Amino acid sequence: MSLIVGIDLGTTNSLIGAMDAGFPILLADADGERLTPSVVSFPQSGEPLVGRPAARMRAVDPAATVYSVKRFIGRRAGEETGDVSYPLAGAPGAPVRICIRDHEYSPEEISALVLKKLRADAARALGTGITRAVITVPAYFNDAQRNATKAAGELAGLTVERIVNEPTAAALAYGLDKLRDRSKIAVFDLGGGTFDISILELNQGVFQVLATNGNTRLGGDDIDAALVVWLAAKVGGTSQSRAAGSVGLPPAPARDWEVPPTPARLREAAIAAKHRLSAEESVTIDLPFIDGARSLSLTLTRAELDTIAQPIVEKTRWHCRRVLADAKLVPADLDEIILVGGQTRMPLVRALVRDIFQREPNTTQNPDEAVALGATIQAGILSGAVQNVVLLDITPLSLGIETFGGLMNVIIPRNSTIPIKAGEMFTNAVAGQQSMLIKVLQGEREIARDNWPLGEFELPFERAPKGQARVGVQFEIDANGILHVLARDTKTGAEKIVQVTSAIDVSDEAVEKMLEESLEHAFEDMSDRVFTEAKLKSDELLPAVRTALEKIGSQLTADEHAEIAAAVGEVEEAITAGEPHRLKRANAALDEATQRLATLLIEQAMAGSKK
Amino acid sequence: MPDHFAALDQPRRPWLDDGALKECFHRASAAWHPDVAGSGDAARFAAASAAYSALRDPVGRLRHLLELEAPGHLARPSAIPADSADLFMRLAEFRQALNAFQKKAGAATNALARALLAADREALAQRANALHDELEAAHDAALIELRALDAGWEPRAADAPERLAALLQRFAYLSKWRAQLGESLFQLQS
Repeated sequence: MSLIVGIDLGTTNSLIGAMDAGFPILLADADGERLTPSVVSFPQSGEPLVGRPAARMRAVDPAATVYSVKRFIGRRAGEETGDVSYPLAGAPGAPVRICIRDHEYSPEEISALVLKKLRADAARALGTGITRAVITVPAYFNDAQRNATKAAGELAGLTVERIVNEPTAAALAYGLDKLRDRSKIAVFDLGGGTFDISILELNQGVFQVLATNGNTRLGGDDIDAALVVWLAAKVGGTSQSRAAGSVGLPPAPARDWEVPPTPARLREAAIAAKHRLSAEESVTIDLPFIDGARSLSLTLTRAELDTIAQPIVEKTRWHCRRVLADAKLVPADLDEIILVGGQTRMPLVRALVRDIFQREPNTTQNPDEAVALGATIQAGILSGAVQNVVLLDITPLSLGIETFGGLMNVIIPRNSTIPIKAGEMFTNAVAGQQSMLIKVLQGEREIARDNWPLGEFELPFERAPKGQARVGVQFEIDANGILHVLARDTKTGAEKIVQVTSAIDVSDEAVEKMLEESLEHAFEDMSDRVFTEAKLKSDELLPAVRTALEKIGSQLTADEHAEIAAAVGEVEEAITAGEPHRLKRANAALDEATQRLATLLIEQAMAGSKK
Repeated sequence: MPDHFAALDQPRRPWLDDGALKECFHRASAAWHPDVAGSGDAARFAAASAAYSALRDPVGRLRHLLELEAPGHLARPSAIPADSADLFMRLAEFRQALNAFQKKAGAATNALARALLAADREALAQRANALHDELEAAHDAALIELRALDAGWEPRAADAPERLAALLQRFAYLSKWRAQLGESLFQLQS
């Protein structure tokens, strides 16, 4: 049996490993480095640069240097913000494309270039050809993202033997030398672009995942972006950088994606400062000749960074509570909280984990390497090099189909052990009905359209009276977390694999249509929309302020009253003047001015309940 | 129909020890999971996995036991047990109140509007906690009855299938309500 390698294809960095005499080891490249930046840069002429040399081009040639491409893999345009320094394309609903010079690339193609480099490094280190691999993905990746990752591996000339979840892999790395143990652990995995939290039970070599949750758009990148906004404000006067756009905003129009070098330099400085602040209390950021003439030197303290990062890091709390509730456990039931992912080096993140789980997190795993080691162990299990270890993983998202009323009918609930099969019987609703369209969904929302559409297929019926044609459909989620659909005619017993048309492989015609629609939208007056949205917020805020003042206004100082009154006045004036951006600012100011009012209200409610 | 008890080497009884059942499933996985080089057996693992998810909670286990032993008792329509009708009404009222609250809370996108709802939220949370305690007590009582039924399981009394069916019905309602209330509590604390 030929060798299988383990690969951690990360948002920021990637690694590759192989089993050696029963132990997982990570392989270094020709420069002796194990960590390969997941960056690809396309020079004017010649071969693309991959890894470290490409990472050095980020500030020099930002428009032709692709990083964090994992955020776009298996995603459709419009779902993911375009706050990167390279231009994106794709009509809303169509797969994201990356435009470099005159060429368009898919995220899979970019990832494949990184994988090819890892594959070549491993072949050199091991002195043998590499054709088979285990590749990790965030546990919360959906079917489309898993399929796209698998496709990237195949483009790189690899047979992908398994897609394994990152936190599960990290648990393998942690537990390999504790195979006699029985324990329950949580893996808190905050990487560059994604967050996962998984709870596992370890029992004599069986690693059973009990529950998992996460957010595939939450990571260190978001902290970097927030820090760039802060830096840009300090630099002052320069263009509002799109590199600083925050998560949740719609992507900037394609013509706007060309970003001048300054934001890329700010980003570089921000990342360096963030890293140093994990160990130091305060750093100096030097930006010589930042706009060609001026230089800038400023101080950033850890406390300031924490204030900037807090709202982002805090988002992990909901997922941790959710995973505990799903596993039906309380923090005291857990034996360890394992931290992995580079962003967990940040003291603020560790403090939050301590707060949520009420214990000191376990930092014995190298946050950059644990996932790759785990992928390597899983490769060893599959090749037979690792004995007495087995992984029971789960599907992170519920799988269902759309019912007549537009609701989601769950067929395989989230956190089910995989591989798993579930059957569903379909009959014709009218006599002679020839087929039925079945829409497959993934997600946790009751309303079908709020979930991720995996795709759809046409189920053919034999000609028969109403309710007489019966076709059984089997949904299978394999060990990779990938869906397969099998239909069986109950009369003929004929089985066939149903091709689910991926929602992301839309037909040319559909793309054409979406393109037309998006062009229509492009002519909509943007400032009109900004104003309408801001006005909606004011309409909500103003009556809330009035009610709150009536209830509890007597407890505020005269100064506070004056400040609120001024902020209210500014909002009202901005509405009358019809100035969208002024109204947005006024809303934010009023939000800020009424913070103490909100705190007082909550305190009063809490005090009332304790009586 | 598969025999889930046999698939995991368990006695065909209403009550099973959680820990022992899990041990059996883990042993089966270690032997038959398709990844295990040499002994992996996809079909046997699938049977063990399906059996574990059916047997691990009383609802699935009692339903399967009836399927195997007295399928006739499964078909009967199930009304809410009389002694739970009052609890059910209060749960329904609570859920209505929670829905109304969540609509308001969903519309409140700024901190101040949310703060105005804090008192309502707290009152609902207290109601939810009281209902939770009550449901847990009802569930514990059902478990005691399950143990009693299990103790007199061999030889089987004539009314055993009937008692089993009644108990299944009780657990089915309780487990649905506990899940709903657990979700409500989670949402209130978010």
